Amino acid sequence: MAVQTVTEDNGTNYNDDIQQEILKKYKNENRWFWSAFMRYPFRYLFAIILMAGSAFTSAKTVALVGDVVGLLAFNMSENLTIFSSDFITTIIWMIVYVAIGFVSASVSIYIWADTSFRFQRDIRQEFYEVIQQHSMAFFDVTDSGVILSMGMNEVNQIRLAMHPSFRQLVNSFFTIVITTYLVIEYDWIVGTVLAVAFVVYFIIAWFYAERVGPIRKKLATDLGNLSSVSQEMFKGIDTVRSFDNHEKEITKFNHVSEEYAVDMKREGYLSSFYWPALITIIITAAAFAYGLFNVIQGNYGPLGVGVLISILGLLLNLNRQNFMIPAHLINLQAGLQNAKRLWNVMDFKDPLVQPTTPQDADWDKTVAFNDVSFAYPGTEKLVLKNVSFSIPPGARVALIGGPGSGKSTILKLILRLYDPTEGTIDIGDVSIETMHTSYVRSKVTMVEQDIFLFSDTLKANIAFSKPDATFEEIRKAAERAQIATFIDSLPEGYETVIGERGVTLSGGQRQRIAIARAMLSNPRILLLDDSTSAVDIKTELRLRYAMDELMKDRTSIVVTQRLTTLVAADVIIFMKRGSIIGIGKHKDLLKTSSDYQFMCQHLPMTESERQNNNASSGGNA
Amino acid sequence: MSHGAGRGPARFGKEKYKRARSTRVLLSYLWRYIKKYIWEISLVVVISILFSALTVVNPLIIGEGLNNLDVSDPSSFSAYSTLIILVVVYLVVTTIGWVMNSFSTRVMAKMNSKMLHEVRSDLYTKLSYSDMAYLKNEQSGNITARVTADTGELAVGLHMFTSIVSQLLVITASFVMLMITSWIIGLMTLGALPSIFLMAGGLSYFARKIVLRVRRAFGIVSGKMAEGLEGIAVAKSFNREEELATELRELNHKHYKYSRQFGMLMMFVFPSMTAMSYIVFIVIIVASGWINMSAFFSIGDIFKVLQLSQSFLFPMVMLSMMFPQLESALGAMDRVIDIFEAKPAVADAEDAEDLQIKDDTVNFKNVSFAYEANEYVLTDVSFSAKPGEMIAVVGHTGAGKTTLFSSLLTRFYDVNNGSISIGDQDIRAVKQSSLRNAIGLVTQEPFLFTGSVMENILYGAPNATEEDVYGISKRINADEFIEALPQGYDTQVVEGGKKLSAGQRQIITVARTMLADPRILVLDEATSRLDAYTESLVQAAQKELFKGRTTFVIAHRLSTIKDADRIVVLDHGELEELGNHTELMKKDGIYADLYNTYYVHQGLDDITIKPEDLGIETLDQDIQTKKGAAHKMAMAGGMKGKKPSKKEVKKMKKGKDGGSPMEQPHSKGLTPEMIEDLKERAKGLNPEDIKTMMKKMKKLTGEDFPEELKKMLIQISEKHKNKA
Repeated sequence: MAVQTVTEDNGTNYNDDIQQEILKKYKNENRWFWSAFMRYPFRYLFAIILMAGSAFTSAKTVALVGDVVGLLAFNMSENLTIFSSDFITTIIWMIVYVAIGFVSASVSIYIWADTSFRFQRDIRQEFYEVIQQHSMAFFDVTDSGVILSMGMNEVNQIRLAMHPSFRQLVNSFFTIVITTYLVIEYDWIVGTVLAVAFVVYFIIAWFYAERVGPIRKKLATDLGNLSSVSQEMFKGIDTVRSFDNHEKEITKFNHVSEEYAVDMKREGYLSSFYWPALITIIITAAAFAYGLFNVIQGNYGPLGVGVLISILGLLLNLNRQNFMIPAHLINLQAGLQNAKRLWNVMDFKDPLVQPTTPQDADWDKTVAFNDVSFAYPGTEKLVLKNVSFSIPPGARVALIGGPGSGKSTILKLILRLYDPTEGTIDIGDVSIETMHTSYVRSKVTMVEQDIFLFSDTLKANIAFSKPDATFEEIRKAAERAQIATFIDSLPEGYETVIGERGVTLSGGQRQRIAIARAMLSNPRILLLDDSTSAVDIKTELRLRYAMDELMKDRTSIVVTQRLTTLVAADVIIFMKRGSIIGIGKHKDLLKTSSDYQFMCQHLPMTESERQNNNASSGGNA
Repeated sequence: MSHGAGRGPARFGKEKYKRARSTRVLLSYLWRYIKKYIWEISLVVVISILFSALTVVNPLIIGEGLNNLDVSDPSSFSAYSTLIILVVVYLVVTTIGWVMNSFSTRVMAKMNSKMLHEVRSDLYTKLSYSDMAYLKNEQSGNITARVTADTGELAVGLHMFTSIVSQLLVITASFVMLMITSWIIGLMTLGALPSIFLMAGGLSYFARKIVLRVRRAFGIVSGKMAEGLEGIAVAKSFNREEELATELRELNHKHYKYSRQFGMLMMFVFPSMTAMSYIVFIVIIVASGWINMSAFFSIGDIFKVLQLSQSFLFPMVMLSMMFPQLESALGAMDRVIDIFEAKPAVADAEDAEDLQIKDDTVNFKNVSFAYEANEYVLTDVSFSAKPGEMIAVVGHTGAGKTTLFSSLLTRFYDVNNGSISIGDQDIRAVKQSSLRNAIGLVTQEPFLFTGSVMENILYGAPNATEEDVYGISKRINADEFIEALPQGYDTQVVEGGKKLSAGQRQIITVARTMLADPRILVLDEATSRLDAYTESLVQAAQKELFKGRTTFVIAHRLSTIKDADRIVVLDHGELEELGNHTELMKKDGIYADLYNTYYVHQGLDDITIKPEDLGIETLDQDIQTKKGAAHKMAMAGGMKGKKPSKKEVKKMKKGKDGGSPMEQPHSKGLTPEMIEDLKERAKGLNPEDIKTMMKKMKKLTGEDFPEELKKMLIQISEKHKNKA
C-alpha cells in the first residue's frame, strides 16, 4: 500500500508553499482534526462497518444468554430433555456469534489503529514542515522545546483522541443503538425510553467533558512549568549556589508543584461524582422493574425468565458504557484542544512574504544598504536606524560594535531572514525583497557564531550545504578549511559520527567544519560571525588560514574581535546603537573615530605596543 | 492466586529495569509518606471492602429473587413483593456503589495530589542541597525526569495499589461464594486461569518488546525534530529544509510501522477477553444442564454462578495486566530513593560562624583536591592574596584553575588536604551562606534564568532597587547594550537567553554579580565572549570595579594579565610560578611558554607559521581526567595537554609487554615506535618547545629523558625549521 502523505508531491521549485497549501486544504483546526476521515475514507469506512457488525453480534450474544437460560429454565420446569434441540441450536448460534464478533472486532480495531497511526504520522510531518517554513521571526520568540513537545506529545494526544477514544465512542454509539433496537424487539416501551434517555445522557456527558477539558490542559501546562523550573535550576546550579539562593528556587518550585497538586485534585473531584451515570442507573432500574412486572404478568410468555435475563443483560451492557464514555469524551475534547493549539502555531502570519514574481540579481554588482531601519517583528524598538553603506564586489568588510549595536542584524538582513522595516537592500539595482529566500540563500552563506553541527558523520556535515557534492569536492573543502589532516587522522575518517552518539570536537574544529561547509556552498557573499573566545596559537592560526581561504574571491562581511582581521579589512563598519558611527580603513578610523581610538587604547598591543612586546617575548616566529 | 497473577507476566519479562532494592525496602520507604495519610487510606480500604462485598452480593440477591419468583402464579403477593425488593435492591446497591466509588475517588484524589506534592517538594529540596559532583554528572534533563515523571509514576502506582486491594477482595469473595453455590463450577472456572495467565504473559512479553521499539523510534523522531528546530537557522541559510523534512519523514514512517505492530498486538486484547467470558458462560450453562440431570440446580443458582464466575475472572485479567505497570512504579520508587540517598552537599559545621568582615586576605595552604579518589586535580597549592589585590590565574586547560577558585574557594566542594581561609577563618568553619554572600562568582558559561533582564540582574541582590540596577549597568558600561534590547530591561529571557548573543548574556551575568557587591570576586573567563569593543569598555571600567575587592581573574585576555598585581601559574594542578608579568617573562619558564601559546597572537604580531607546520591535532576529550603515566607522557609530548590518539595509546601499551601502563612509567622503556613518534612531533616544534616538553616529561615522570634523544630531537627540529 502506497504511503499516502499530503506533502508527497512537493517538487524542487521554490514556489510551493506548504503552509498555504495546508491552510487552504483544511481551513480550520476542526477540519484538520477530522481530516483523518478525509485522508483515509475507505479504511475508516471498512473499520466502521466491521465495528457495527461486532457491536451487533456482541449485543446479540448478550441477548442469547437470556434465551439459553430461559430455555434451560423452561426445560427444567417442564421436565423436558435438558439438551433439547432448541437449546443446542441456540448454543451453536452463540458460538457462531462469538466467533464472528471476535474476528470482526479484532480486525476493525486493527484497521482503525493502523489508519490512525498513519494519520498521526501524516499530521506530525505536516506540522513539522509548516513550522520549518516559518521565518526566523517565529523562531526568535518561540521556545523550541514547546514546539518539539507539540510536534511529538500533542500529536500523540490527537492520535489518542482518534484511537482509541473516538473508536470507543463510535463503538459505544453502535452498542447503544443496537441494544436499544434489540430491547425494542422484546418490549418497545422499554426500548423507546432507553433511546430517549441515552440521547439526553450523551448531551450531558459532552458538557461534562467540556468542563474537564480545560483542567486537563491546565495540568499539562503545569507539568511543563514544573519541568522547566526544575531543569533551569539544575542547569544553573553554580549560579544558584554561588548566590546562596536555594530557598528562593525551592519556593519557586513548591509554588508550581502546589499548583499542579491543586489542579490534580480538582480533576479528581470532578471525575469522582460523575452524575450522568445516575441517569443510566435509574433508567435501567426502571426498565428492570417494568420487565420484571411483565414476566410476572406472563406478558413475555413461557420463556419469560429468559426474556428478563436478556433484558437485564442488555441493560448491564449499556451500564458498562458508563465506565468508558466519560474518559473517552474527555480525551476527544483534549485532542480537539491540541489540534487547535497546533493549528494556531501553523497559522502563524509570517511577516516575511515571498515575492509573487521572484527576481534574480547580478551578484557582481555592489551590495547597498539604502536607509535601512529595522525592528524585530512584534517589537517597536528600532535596532537599526537609517543605515546606509555600499560594499563593492569582492571587498572584505569588518563589522564591529557592542552587543545590540545591530551588527548581527545586518548579517541576518542580507541573508533575508528578515525584511527591513524601512529602506531597501539592493544587489546592483535589484532589491532582495523581490528575490525568493531560497535564491538569496543560495548566493549568500553565513557562518554563525554558535556553530551548529548535526549529529551525523563529518562527511554529511560538510556536504550539508551541497548534498550532491562528490567526495573529491568534500575533501577539497576540508583541505582548504585546514581540517582535512585532522579528519584523516581519525580512524573512521570522514565517516566519523560527531555529537551525542559520536566524538566531541573542540570549538576550533567545529568552526573549521562549518567553514568547510560554507566553502562547499561557494557563495557570492560570505557572512561570518566570528566571535571566538581566546584560543591557543595553533588553533588560532588554523582558523586564520581557513578563513582566508574561505574569503578568497568573494565579498565577505565579518563580525570580528580579531585585531588582525580589522587591520586587514578593506572597510571597517563601526556600529553603535543601531547606527554607523564610523566607516573606513583601520588607519582612517584611528584618526576619525574617537570610539575606535578608545577601543584600541584599551585593547592590548596596538601598533604602539608592538615593538616593546616583541622585545619582551623574545620573538616567537 | 494473587501470587500466580503476579508471577505470570513477570516470568517472561527479561528486559525490565533492574531494581537495586527489594520490594520490601521500597514499600517501607513509601510507608513514610503513606503513614501520614493513614486515616484516608483506611477509609479508602474500608470502602473498597464494602464495594467488593456489594459486587458479590448483588448477583446473590438477584439470584435469590429469581429463585423465589413464582412464575406459575402471577397474581400472588409474593411475586410482587419480590419484584419490589429486587428493583429496590438493584437501585440501592448500584447507587451505593456509585456513591462509594465516587467518594473514594475523591479521597484518593485529595490524598494523592497532596502526597505527590510532598514527595516532589522533598525530592527537589534534597536535590537542591545535593553534592555538586552528583548534579554535574547527571544531565539536567535526567534529574528533571526524576522530579516530574518518576514521582508521577509513583502516584499512579499508589492509585493502582488501592485498586489492586479491592480487586483481590472481589476475586476472593467471588470465588468463595462460587464454591459455596456450586463447587463443581467453581473448580471449572479455575480451569480458565491458565489461559488468562498465558494470554497476559504472552501479551506483556511481546508488548514490552514492541513498546521498547516504538519508544526508541519515537525518541529518534523526537531527536531529529529537536535537531531540525535547533538548527533551523543553518537549514534556512543553506536551503536544506526539504532534505531535513525527507529525513524526518523516513523516521516518522518507521515509527508508524512499529506502532502498527503494537496495534496488531493489542487488537486481540479486548475481543479475546469478551470471547473468553462467553466461552466460560457456555461451559457453565452446559455444565449446569448436566448437573440438573442428576440434582436440582435452580435457575437463580445458575444466574448466581454465571455472575460470580464473571466477577472472579474479570478482575483476574485486570490484575495480570496491571502488574507490569506496578513493577514500573516500583522502579520509579527505586530511582527516587536513589536521590534521597545521594550524597548531600558539604554541610555547615555545627559551630559555624558568620564570616567576619575585617580581613579579606585569602590564604591557600597546601591545598590538594580530587573529584574522584586519587585522581588529584590540585596538589599542594599554597599562596595568599592580599586584601584588594587582583590576581590573574593562567594555565592550560585542565590545570585546575576553575576547580581552585570556582569550586573550592566557594566551597562547592571541600578540599581533601590543606585549607583555605579568609582572614583568619577557615572556610570550613564558616556558614556557607555568609561565605557565598562575600564571594561573587561569574562562571564560564553565562547562565540566565527565565524572567526579565531586570529580574536576572536582581537575582543576587534581592534588596536592591531598579535604580541600583541602572547604576551598576552604567558603571560596567552595560546599559547601552541592555537598552538596545527590544524591551530594554524588561526584555524576557527565553530558553536561557537564546535570543541574546553570548556577549550580551555574559555582560548581564557580570552586572548580576557586581550588583551583589561581593568582597571577593572570582571571574572565570568572564569576558571571553565579549566583542573587542565591549571588552575594551569593560576593561576600562574594571579598575574601579575591582577596587577594594580581592579579585581572582581566570584570564584569557592579554589585557587582564598585564593589569594584574600578580599572576598565578598553574600547571597540572600545581602552582608553578607566581609574580607579575615582567618578572615571569624574565624567568622564561612555563608562563613565558603559555604567553607565547595563548596570548601573544591576540595582538597584532605577525606570526608566520605555515599551515603545514602546525603539527597534528587530536581529539579534545577528557582533558581533565588523567589516567596514569602513559597518558601524562603523551600529553607532555603533545605539548598542548591533549589526549593521545588511540593509535598512540595502543603503541604504548604494546611497548609494555602487556604490563599495566598505569604502574610502569616509561622513560627508559621507550619503544622504537614512540621514539619515531617523538621525532615526527619534533619536526613541527621549536627547539625551545622541545626543552619545555622535556621539562614537563621530567616533572610528570620524575625521571630524566635520555640525553642523546633530547639532542636528536632538537637537531631534527632545528633542521626542519631551517628548511621552512
